[in-house]
Amino acid sequence: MWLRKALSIIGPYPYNPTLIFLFFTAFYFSRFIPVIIDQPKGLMRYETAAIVLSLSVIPSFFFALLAQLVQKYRRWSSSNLLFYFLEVSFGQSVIIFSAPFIRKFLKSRYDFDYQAPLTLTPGLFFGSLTIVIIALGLMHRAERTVVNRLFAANELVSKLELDRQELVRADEAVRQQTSRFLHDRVQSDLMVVAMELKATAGKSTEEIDAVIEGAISRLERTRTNDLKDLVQILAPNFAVGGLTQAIQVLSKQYDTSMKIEIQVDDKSELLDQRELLGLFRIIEQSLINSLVHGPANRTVITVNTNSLGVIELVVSDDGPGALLTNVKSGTGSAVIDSWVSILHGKKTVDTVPGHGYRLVVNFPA
Amino acid sequence: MTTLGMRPTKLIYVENDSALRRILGQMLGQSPELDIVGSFGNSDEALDRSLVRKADVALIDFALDQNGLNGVELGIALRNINEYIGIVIYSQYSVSQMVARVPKDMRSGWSFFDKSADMDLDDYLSVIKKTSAGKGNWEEVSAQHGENVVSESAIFFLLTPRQRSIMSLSAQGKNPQDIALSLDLSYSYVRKELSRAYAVLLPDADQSSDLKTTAVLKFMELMRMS
Repeated sequence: MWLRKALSIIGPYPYNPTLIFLFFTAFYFSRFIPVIIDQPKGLMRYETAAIVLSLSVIPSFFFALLAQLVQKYRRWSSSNLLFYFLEVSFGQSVIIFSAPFIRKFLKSRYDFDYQAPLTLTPGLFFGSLTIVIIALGLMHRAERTVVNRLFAANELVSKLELDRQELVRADEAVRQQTSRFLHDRVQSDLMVVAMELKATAGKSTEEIDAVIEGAISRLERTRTNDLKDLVQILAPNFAVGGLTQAIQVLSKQYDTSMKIEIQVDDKSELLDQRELLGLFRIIEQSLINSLVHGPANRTVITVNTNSLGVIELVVSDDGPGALLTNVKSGTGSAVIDSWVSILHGKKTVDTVPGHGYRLVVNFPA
Repeated sequence: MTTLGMRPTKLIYVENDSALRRILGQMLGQSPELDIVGSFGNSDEALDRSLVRKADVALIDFALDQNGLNGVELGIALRNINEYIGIVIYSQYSVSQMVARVPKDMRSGWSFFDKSADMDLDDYLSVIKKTSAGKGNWEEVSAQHGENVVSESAIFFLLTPRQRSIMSLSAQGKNPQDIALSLDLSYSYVRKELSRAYAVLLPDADQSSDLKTTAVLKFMELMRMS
């Protein structure tokens, strides 16, 4: 058990060519630093540094290329430790071919004696191989830990996003139920009661008739003024008058505070129920923001669907605006973000102090 | 008052609320000018072809059963069976934009009104009989909406807040270098944003005209309107 665990620390690991390239470039560069510092300060030293860096890149590039090729075309097992050792040994032997060239170059140009130990004796080759295996193990193990953590973080973000979408759906279901109850039962019953009362009018004294008349107007006021709009705001029925009418009903609430202008193109009115509801909810929250963080004098809402089927919602106001860095994330933003994610869209906010606020949401149909 | 020799108008009544169907049905049934040939609680029952063919008009609630047709869809289906039938839609929802749901070439002979307990039998009779005679009120109803539509001055809102701030400094006579300095932006960014703002403010601008002056004047005019 412990042996297996110990061996699993050694390898094998899936190669990361970029990491291998960077590691070995840094390794060789550090080995050749004496060549650089031997040069006089100034341009000569910079030039040498550039040349040394190029020399370091040569073997590193071959290691990375080999790792890439083995990863792609390997016909043998990738989980066998012996094969892993053989692969790394083969990679390491590249030095046997590149070292003479580097040595010759450094000697002739900088009179520097470079000797790659692994090219000297088999013992040094295997010693060096052990160091490389350990280096690869540490490097890839660290990478694996980071990747695992990132993966866990991504999983968590996806789960949070799904939870948030689920909350939005549950909230919509309750709104739908309440709206239907208000429409089908409360509004209908108020109407029936008012009509029943009306049917009894004229059959009694004038005084009672006046009371009945008063009661009917009160019931009708509640039914047509308060309930009618509430039903549509709670859960808009887009079959009635489309997105435009649903936003118009919503905007009535802001009549005393700001002027709201709406433009929805014909194509956007044909979007499905979920998309229309998403647009409506984003607009609803944006109007609350325009009121709370303003108030703005005017807010303009436009919804357009282009020929590629991309829907664009723009809510723009002339409120006081803010520094973009100071735009805080509140409940409203959370609702908007949830809907943007449900619709697989993208949100852009633009605001400048004194020059209003503009929200743009794009999503594919 | 019925005219001697005139036959009563044959009416199909569709309402999913049974209490309202009963009470309004009784009220309409009192009139000798109406003959209620069918009273139904949902769209499926109402699609009785032989009945629809002999009816003159249908009074339909917009919100019928949740999973079936709505009132307008049922009206269209009835019209496809009987091209002369008048359709009256009434609803607790606002009816002002329901007309848009009816195909343009089918709108004649359609009426819409909001449900109201204040309406008398005569009010119902008037709408129903006019509609059965092909005189629907759809034109008046569709003329009611149109509030909140985007005005010409809304072009101001097509500018991003950043473009508005740049234009506002430009309107104060500042050149792009000064604007870049004031807003801590690069000169080339300010130039680009100014060009974009001109394109928004003057979409049909003549390239030979003085773009900057015309755009600034337009921006100032829009600022006053906003």
